[in-house]
Order: sequence, then structure tokens, then C-alpha cells
Amino acid sequence: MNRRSCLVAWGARRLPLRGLRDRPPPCRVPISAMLLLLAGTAVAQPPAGEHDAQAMAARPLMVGDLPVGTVTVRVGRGSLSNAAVEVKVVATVTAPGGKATERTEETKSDGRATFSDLPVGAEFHAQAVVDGEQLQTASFAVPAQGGARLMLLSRAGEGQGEGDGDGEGASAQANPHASTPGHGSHAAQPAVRALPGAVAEKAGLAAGSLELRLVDSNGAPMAGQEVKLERSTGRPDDIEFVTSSSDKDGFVRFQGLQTGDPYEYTAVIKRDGVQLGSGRIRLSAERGAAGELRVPGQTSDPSVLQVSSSSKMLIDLREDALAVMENLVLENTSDRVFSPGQGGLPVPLPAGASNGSAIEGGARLEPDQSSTMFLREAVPPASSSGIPVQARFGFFLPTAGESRITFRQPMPLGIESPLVMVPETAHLTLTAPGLQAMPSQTDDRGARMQLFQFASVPRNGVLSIAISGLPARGSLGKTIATVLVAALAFAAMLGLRRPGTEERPKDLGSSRREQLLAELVEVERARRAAGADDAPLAQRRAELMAALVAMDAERVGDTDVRRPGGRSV
Amino acid sequence: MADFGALCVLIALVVATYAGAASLVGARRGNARLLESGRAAVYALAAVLGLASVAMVQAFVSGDYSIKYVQHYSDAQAPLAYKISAYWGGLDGSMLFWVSLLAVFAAIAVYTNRHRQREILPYAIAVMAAVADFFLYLIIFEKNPFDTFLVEIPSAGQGLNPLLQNPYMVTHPPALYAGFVGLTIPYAFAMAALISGHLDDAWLVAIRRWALASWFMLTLGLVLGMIWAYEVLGWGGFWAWDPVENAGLLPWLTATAMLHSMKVQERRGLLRRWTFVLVILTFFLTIFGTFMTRSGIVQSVHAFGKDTRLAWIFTIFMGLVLLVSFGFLFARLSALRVSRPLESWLSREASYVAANWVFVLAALVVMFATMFPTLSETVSRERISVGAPFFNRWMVPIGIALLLLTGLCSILAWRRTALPEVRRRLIAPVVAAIVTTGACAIGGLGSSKAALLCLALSGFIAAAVVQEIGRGVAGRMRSTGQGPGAALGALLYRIRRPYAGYLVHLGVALMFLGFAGQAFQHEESVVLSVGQTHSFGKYGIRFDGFSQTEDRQKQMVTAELTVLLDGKPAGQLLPARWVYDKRPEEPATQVAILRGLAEDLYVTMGNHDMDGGTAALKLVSNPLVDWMWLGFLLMATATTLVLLPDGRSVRAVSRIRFSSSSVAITLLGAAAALVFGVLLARLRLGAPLVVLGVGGLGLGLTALAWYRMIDPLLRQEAITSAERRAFIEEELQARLAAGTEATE
Repeated sequence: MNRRSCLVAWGARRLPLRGLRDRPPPCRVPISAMLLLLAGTAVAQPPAGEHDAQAMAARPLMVGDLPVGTVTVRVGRGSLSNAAVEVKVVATVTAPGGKATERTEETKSDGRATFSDLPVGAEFHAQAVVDGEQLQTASFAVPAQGGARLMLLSRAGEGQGEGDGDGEGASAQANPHASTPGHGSHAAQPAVRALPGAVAEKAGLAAGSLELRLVDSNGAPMAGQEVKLERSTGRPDDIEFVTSSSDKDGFVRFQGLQTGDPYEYTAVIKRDGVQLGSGRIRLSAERGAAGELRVPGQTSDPSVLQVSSSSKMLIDLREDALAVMENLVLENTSDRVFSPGQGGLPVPLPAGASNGSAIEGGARLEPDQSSTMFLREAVPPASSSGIPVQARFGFFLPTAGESRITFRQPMPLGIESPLVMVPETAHLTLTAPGLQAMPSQTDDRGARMQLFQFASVPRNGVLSIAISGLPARGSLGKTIATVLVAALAFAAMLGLRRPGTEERPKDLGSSRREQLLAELVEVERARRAAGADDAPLAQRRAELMAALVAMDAERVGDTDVRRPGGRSV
Repeated sequence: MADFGALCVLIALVVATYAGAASLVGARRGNARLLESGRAAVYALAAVLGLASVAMVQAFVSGDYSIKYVQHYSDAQAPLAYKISAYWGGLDGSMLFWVSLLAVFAAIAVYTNRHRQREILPYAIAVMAAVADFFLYLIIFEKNPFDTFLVEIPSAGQGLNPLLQNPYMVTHPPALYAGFVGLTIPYAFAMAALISGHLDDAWLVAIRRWALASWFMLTLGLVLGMIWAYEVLGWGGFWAWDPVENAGLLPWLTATAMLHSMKVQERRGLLRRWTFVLVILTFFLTIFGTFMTRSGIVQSVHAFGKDTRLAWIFTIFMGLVLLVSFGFLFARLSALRVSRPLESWLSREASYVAANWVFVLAALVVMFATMFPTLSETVSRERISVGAPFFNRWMVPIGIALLLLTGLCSILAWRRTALPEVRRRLIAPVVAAIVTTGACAIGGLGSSKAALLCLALSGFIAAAVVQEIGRGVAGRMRSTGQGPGAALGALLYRIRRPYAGYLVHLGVALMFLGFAGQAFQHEESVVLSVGQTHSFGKYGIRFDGFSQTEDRQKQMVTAELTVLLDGKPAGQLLPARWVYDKRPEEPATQVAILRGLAEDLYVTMGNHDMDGGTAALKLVSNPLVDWMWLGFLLMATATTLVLLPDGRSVRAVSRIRFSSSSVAITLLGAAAALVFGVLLARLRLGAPLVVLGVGGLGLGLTALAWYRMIDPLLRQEAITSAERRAFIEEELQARLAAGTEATE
């Protein structure tokens, strides 16, 4: 990747950061590093159609925030936003001595399988099958410090988020998890598994039948709720859905469904702009299945939200500004869906920040003109085991040529120990209470990043970071000039005071001198007109001249000056 | 170079403050040492800012892209002239250029008045220093053109806007700035007179030439801007009532009124308060124009961009200017009372007074309409634009009134003119106006009444001016027995101010022919294929094909057109589109014009398909437009005539004795300089060495000025009576000379 494919170029091309093009690109952090580092462990949700993510798949990223001997493999369909859950990841670990062992882990709700207690230096290689497609990682040695993260992406689900947004288009058919309406340029929000409840075979129900009962958070039946039942077979081109509505008792029934492998079903409903999905349902060939799905309630109380420790920030150096990108991972601690309401949930930017703008791939955010971003997307309960909502945005923090600035960002929701990344090439020094520097990391393209873990910030607290080492313009000259100008102005004010009594005659002499000079001018004119030999006029001229010489001597006294060579200035 | 330039600007801030402080305190306490040091500080200011300008130009010439401003406005491929003109191509550099010009003008004003205006000069220095301080503050703390990149230095420049890469844009901004900045000098002397209480006409004598020269440079700047708009922008006209055009027009209107008001004050001792008002207003409007173009408060293709902070700083400064200026004027109102009334409304001063009212009314209309979008946005949050129709509705009658007054003032005498005499003098101009009207109506120019009236009044003025000059020539022929040519020459040389004034008025009449011609403009858009001929008015336009060329900066596609008149080739036109490598999204239109006194045939090329052999052309007929430029040439000639050294100076020069050896040495020196210049050009070392030479000279001058600034404060020698007598003799001679000049 050439120098243009740096963070800034990426930002200018992909991020709607206003004014970015006006600034020369410092070319510091490659896209890959930005994507991987900003996405991090549990939060990756790269932009729809982001082919760099595909390019980076299967390559290890050495990170310092994992214990030694730990490797995580994250599996997604097409993109990390479409997590592949309950997929078996088989790792082959070849110890330094040559002994190979095989370990199997299943991906969790976030699509991640974790392998721990691996021997340092052992060669690690993993593979998984997603929707019939075999995926495998590159081989690498387990690092001696920290752990490693990998991702495996299947080709299924590519193009997600590019549908027309009504959930009924081609992309929705291609991927049942991509049917949430899109929001402008933002990626579509996948259905989250927020419908707790159990579905089991039920005697008496015909094979191929599914009977679901929808109840609200109080257990009351939900009538008239539309339910979309999506069928998948593991092949991206073989996905279908049927839609039905619940009756007055909350029951919704489907019949004639296909049973056995490879057919799986997911029930999806839409509430408050969020798609909530059930777990995967398989039907046996012998009998039908039934179950109850509990639909969570709604709240607009922001106290149910917290910003998790998976949140990350990237601070990069720009001309006369810092470019900051944040990925705040929001967790809803309640059992209800958080709705930000009409106004949206304010996410304040640091004082003085400018050009705030949402980053593709995150939740729907809109900036206003007072340096605040507004989240305009619902946040499902964390217990729903869906992918957390991420507020991704970037902004500039002007440095005004100062060598040190303080980054102060209000955190109304607080934040748990965020990770801050700074390119080593920026040579910035970060200082903050409870700051822990972590080992630097190198991304697969060689960019070195400094990592810092910050102390948690309580609710309504302020994330405060002193950033020094900024390239600065010297202010000594301005300071000296300002002091001199002030001193001159002060001296002038003193000098302009009304002169004392002993000085006044000199001042008053000015008008008298003017009179004498005016008379001299008239006499000289008359003398010229009358001829140079007019004795009375010559006499008067000499008298006036003598008076003026005497007056000048008295008037300026010892402050008078003489030019070298006798010429006046 | 960036550090050196920045250091120069910092030093300039301190020196400017010192100049003002030393002059004020020196004047207050009668301390000649401080006064002398303060005057020398102005020279030092000019020298230091000259060095800063040399540093800026050197950075552009050498392509020092570590400086943001240089990187933004130039590139390696730009010709030398455009690299240099990029100095004032952007906001930051233009402010440095502005304050550098001000420092040079201030130094010249101080030098030329060092003997004559001793009582008011220190206060004038203080005012000029305060204005310089304001711009230096902006440069240092807000828009420093020497700011460097801190993170990564780009390897190439972005290049100057293609529209600005034009000879007229090399000359238009400096001319306009020279006009704007030059008008600071009259303001400084007027304020000095108000502050010091020396309210006689001495300050007028000091700034008469400054005011005229600045007005002329402002006019030149506006006309160059019109030519640029006409020949580069390609929309077919030369004036669009754009806010930035209006920013230049506003001080021009009040400066023109000011010149006439000053004349009335000099000749008749009237309008003393009004002249101060106009001087203050004119200076205010120069700052206001700068504010409009640099704050982004108005939207214009010429503006530098939006900067709210800068807008506030300018607003505060303008408020201070108005408050302080009118505060002092108010305090001196009683001293400025004129006991003599206007003797008759049938007098030249009466016509000047009326013209003053019309000029100020015009300025108010232009200002209101220019600011209306901003005002409407402030009041109703909705930006309502005011377009050309509004301006034309108001400015056409105002222009016609001015034309009428221009003609009348030529036939009216000072003090009073007897009615029969007025009738007698009106005969020829009225006949000329009637004949012009008839001729124009017959010639097909009768469709617009306003334009027809304008043409008639132009004829009226021309006849009035010719009649007055004829009367003068006849009188001189009678009194001296000279022939007509000699009598005319003697009039223009010896009594140049009134007769040059007549010629300026004649130039105005010619320019109004151009304005009137716009009413008869017509245009047509066509798409022509190669070989096709299109009929447009009396012309046939034949499209012969394309040619494609390129140079280091751009690719050029030119349409080759043959203009046919009565079926015969009358000329070739080559409209083109230039696409600059650095800014391919901004193709520049190259206009082709077939000029004529009756009309210009004006052609631009839009979209074109070289493969298909088609070109979209805009054809415009612009009647009488060249009279505009001819009128300005006449105005320029007449103004130059007034600005030429007077007879006394010429006589003084003529008294210098030239020995044969000194002549030989001078010629040898000139020849050596010529050979040296040719060698430099051959070796392509010209630009760096010239910069080095100018820089060295600047350093030398700076050192000299610093010496003269500090020396008076350190000297301990007492002055002798003989020297004091010599000083007074010098002062006496200067007063006598000033008195003679005022009488002339």
C-alpha cells in the first residue's frame, strides 16, 4: 500500500470529515492499522463493502491487551458486523519441538473463539467452515508478549448494507441479517439476538410447523406484531423468508417449513427501529417446534448505558491539529431497548473540536454545530447477546501551534478504561491520571503504534489527557514584541501627560514661534517684492531671525540635536 | 527565509509603535530628538517591511514550500511574474503587501514633508503608525504569511488559481492596494490637523498630490480589474456589481468627492468640515473594502474566504476609526466654522457641492445594496441577494446626474456666473447633445432612453470641455501672440490643474460611452461544426477547426475561427480552454476579441468535442466598449500631467550642472548595468541575484534608518546658533515654496 493509503487519505476518501481535503496529508497510519486497531476485539464493524478487511483477514495482529499465550479468532460472514456464531474453529498448534496438537473452540455471540494458554513460540494455524466455505488463517508464532487477534471472513454476506434500506430488497434476501433500514451512508444495522426464549420440539405439532408466542417484558401477549421468519441453508444464494403477524394471544404460526439439515430458521421482529432476532431454530423431521419469545421493553433513560472498555481512540498528528477518531462501544445494562428519542443521545466532543463527523460502519450519528455528536440509533440490551452499538466518529482538535494541549472530553456516560492509540511517528507524549503505557505494536504493514490504557472515567466525568510533544511555533518572538509594544505604549502614555509648570512656557512658545515665523515669511515676501536692498525690511528680517534663533535655543534647550555635517533632518 | 521574514514583521511591529510613540511624545514635549528619531523610525519601518517583502518574494522565487502560504499559492512551473504576483494572491500575503506599501508611502510622505509640516507631521506619523500596527497585529497573530508547516513539508506547491495567472492580475491588485493605502496618507494628515489644532490649509497642501495620486491608482486598479473581468472571466461584460468590485468603487466615489471638496476649500475656503468628513469616510471605506474582501462577510468570487474572527477584529478597528475620527472632528467643529457663504448657485463651487452630494448618495446606495444580503441574513436569517437590476435602477440616474454636473461645472466660473453668460456658454454643449442624440437615434442606438441620454450628455461634456479649452487657447493667443498649438501647450503646462481637470472630465465622458454601449449588448450561443459558418450581426463566423498545444503548466485547446465581413476575411479569433495540470477541475476560458471603436466581437468557447469536431461558442457584440479604455487613457494622461513635477522643481533640476565627465561616467555606468543585466539573464541568475541585490540594498537602508532613529537619542553635541539659523532659513524657504504652490 503506498503512502496515499494512509489514515488521512482514507479519511478524506471514506470519511465525510469536512475540511479534511484542505489539509495536507501527513500519511501516518495505514488503513489496515486503523481498521484493526479501531475495531479492536469485540467491536469490529467495518464499513460495508470494506475490501481492506477482506484483505487483512487471516493475518495475525499482535496486541498487548491479551494475556500471553492467547489467540482470538473472530469469524464473520462477509464482514465482522455479521458475526458467525457457534462456528467451530479448529486450531493446529505446533510446539517448538515439533509436536502438533489440535484444539477446537466454538465462536461466541460476537463471532469470536478464544484459544488460551498456548505455548509461546508455537506455530498457530486455525481453520473454520462457515456456510460450507472453508476458511483458514495464516501460520504464525505465538508471541512472547501479549496475544494475537485474527479474523476469518466468509464470502457470504458481502454487499451487506448496500440494500435500499427497506429490508425487502435484494440484499435483504441475500442476507437475513441485513434487513434493517439503512441510514444514508451508514451501514445497515443487523438484527441482534435480543429475543430471549426457548424453542423446543412440541408433541402434537406437525412436522414442518413452528409456533411462537410473543410476549412483552411483563409477560403479556403481543398482538399484531409482524414476524419475519428467515430460512438459511448456509449458502448465501439460498435464503428465503416468510412473514406473518401474531394473533390476539401473541401466537404466530408457520407451517410447511423444511426440516432437518441444512435448514435453520431465525425469527426477526422490528421494534423501535431495531431488528431483534431469535436464536437459530432447527426443525426435526418428526415433529414441529414451539416456544415463547420475550420482546424487551423500551427506555430512554441514558443511565442504562455505559461505554465499555472495548472502546478505543486513535490520536494522530495533523497540520495545526490533532485528528482524533473514537469508537465508543455502548452497552445497555438494562433489559430494555434504549431509544435515544427524537433529539438523539448527545455525545460531546472535546472543547474546541471541529469538523466532527460520523465514521462509516458505526451507529447512526449526526453532528451539530456545537461540537456534539448525536446518536440516533437504539441500543438493545447487552443481555440480548447481539453486537454492541458503536459510536464511531472523528474530529479535529486544533493545536494552534502550541507544543502542549489538554484534551478534555466530557463523558456523560462515563467510560471504562479506554484504549488510546497513537502512531509512534507522531512522537506525542500523553499524560493522564492512571495512564498505563502498553507495549507498542506493529501492524502487518510496519506502522508502529503506541498503546495506552486509561483509567475509567465516572459518569458525567471528563476524559482528560495532556498531550505534549506537538510540533510548535516558537512564541518567544511574539512575546518579546508584545512586551516591547506594551512598554512603548506605557512610556508614551507617561510622556503624553500634561507637561509640568516649568515645561509649559516651552509648549506655549510654539504658537509664539509660529507667529514670528509667519511674520518672517511675510517680511521675506515683501523684501523679495521690494528688492533685496530694502533696509527696513532687511532690518526686520534680521530681528525676527534673531528672535527665532533665541526662541529655538530656549524652546528645545539641551534636548536639541545637531546632524553631523550641520544638516537638519 | 521564513524565520527571517517573521522576524522582520515582529521588528516592524515594535518599530511602528516606537515611531508613533516617539512622535507623539516628541510633539507634546517639544523634544526635537524624539521627533527626529520618530521620523527616522518611519524610514526604518519601510526598510524592515521591505526586507520582509524581499523574503516573501525570495521564498516564492526559490519555491520554499516549507512556508504554507508559498505552498498554497505557487508551484515550480509558474512563470516568474506569477510567482512574484502570488505574493499578493492570497489573504496573508496581501496584508503584508498592504502594510509594506503603507510603510513606503509613509516614509515618502514623512520625507517630503519633513520641513514643511513640522507641527502636524508627528501626529500624522502617529496615525500612520497606528494603522500599520493594526495590520501588523493581524499578520503576526492571525494571518502570518511566514507560517511554516509543522508536520510534513509538501514537496510541491498547489499553484496559483488559473484565473489569477494573467498579466492584468499581476498589476490590478498592486494598483488597487496603492490606491487604498495611499488614501491613508490624507487621512493621517487630516487627523493630525484635527489632533494638533492646526486647522489652516497647510495639511491640504501636504496631501493634495497624495490624494490625487491615490485616486488615480484606485481608478487604475478598478479599470485593470474591469479589463481582467472582460478579457479573462469570459462572461462578456466588465462590471457585475460584485461585492468586491463594489469594495473598490466605494472609496473611489468618496475620494472623487473629496478631491472636488478639497478644491473648493483651497479656492474658496468653503467646505472645511465637509472635506474632513470625506477624508475620514474615504479612509474608512478603504478599510471597509478590505474588511469585505477578507472577512467573507459578503459572498464573491473575488473574496478570500470566510473568517469570522477576522471580521470581528476589522469591525472593532472600523468602529474605533469612526469613533476617534469623528470625535476629534466634533471637538474642532467650532474652529472649522466657515463665515463665508456660497455666493451663488450659478458657480463652479456650487456644482462641486452638488456633485459631492451625488457621489455620497451613490456611495450610500452601493454600500446598502452590497451589504443588504448580510443585513437581511442578520435580521431575518434569510440571505436576500441584490442583483444588477437594483444597482442599475439607482446608479443609472445617479450616473446621469453626475454627467450633467460634470458638463455644467466646466462652463461655470468660480464665485458666480452671470445668467446671460451661462446661456451663452450652454449653446454649444446643448447643440452637441442634440446632434449626438439625433445621430445615435439614426444609428440605431435609440432603443434605450437612459443610454441615449447618457450618450447625449457625453456629447454635452465633450463640447463644454472643448469650448473651455478653446476659450483659454484663444485668450492666450490674444495675450501672447502665440499660435494655437503653442498656446494649448503653454496652457496645459503652465495652468495645468484646471485644464487637466477638463481633460479628466472629457475622459469620464468617453468612459460613459462605454457604459452606455452595454445597453445595446447582444449575445448568442451556438454549437458549430468544423467548416460551418454562422451569421452573427454583420459578421460571419467560420469554424476552421481545433488546435491542441501544451506547456509545462497546462493543456490548451483552441478553436480557430475566421471572422467574415461581407463574405471576406476580416480577422481570426482564437477562443480557447486551458486546463491546468494542478487544477484540472477549473478550466480557464481564453477570450478572443475582435476590437473596434464601434463594437467588439467577443467570443468564448464552452464545451467542445474534438473528435466530433464541434464547439459550443458564445458570441457577444459589445458596442462602444473600447471608448471606456480610451477614456481612461485620457484620464490617466491628464492626471499624470497634474502629478508631474511643477515648474519650480523642473527649474531646480535644470540648475544642476552637468560636466562632460559626469555625463560620461553616467553613460558608462548605464552601459555596464545593461551588460550586467544581459549576462544575468543569459546565466539565468537574474531572479536570485536581483533578490540578493534588493535584499542587500534593503539591509543597507535598514541599517541607515536604524542609525538615524537611534543616533538622535544618543548624541550629546550642542547645536550652534549658525546651524539653528540655517534650519530656520530652510523652514522659511519651505514655507515660501508651499505658499507659492498653494497660490498656483
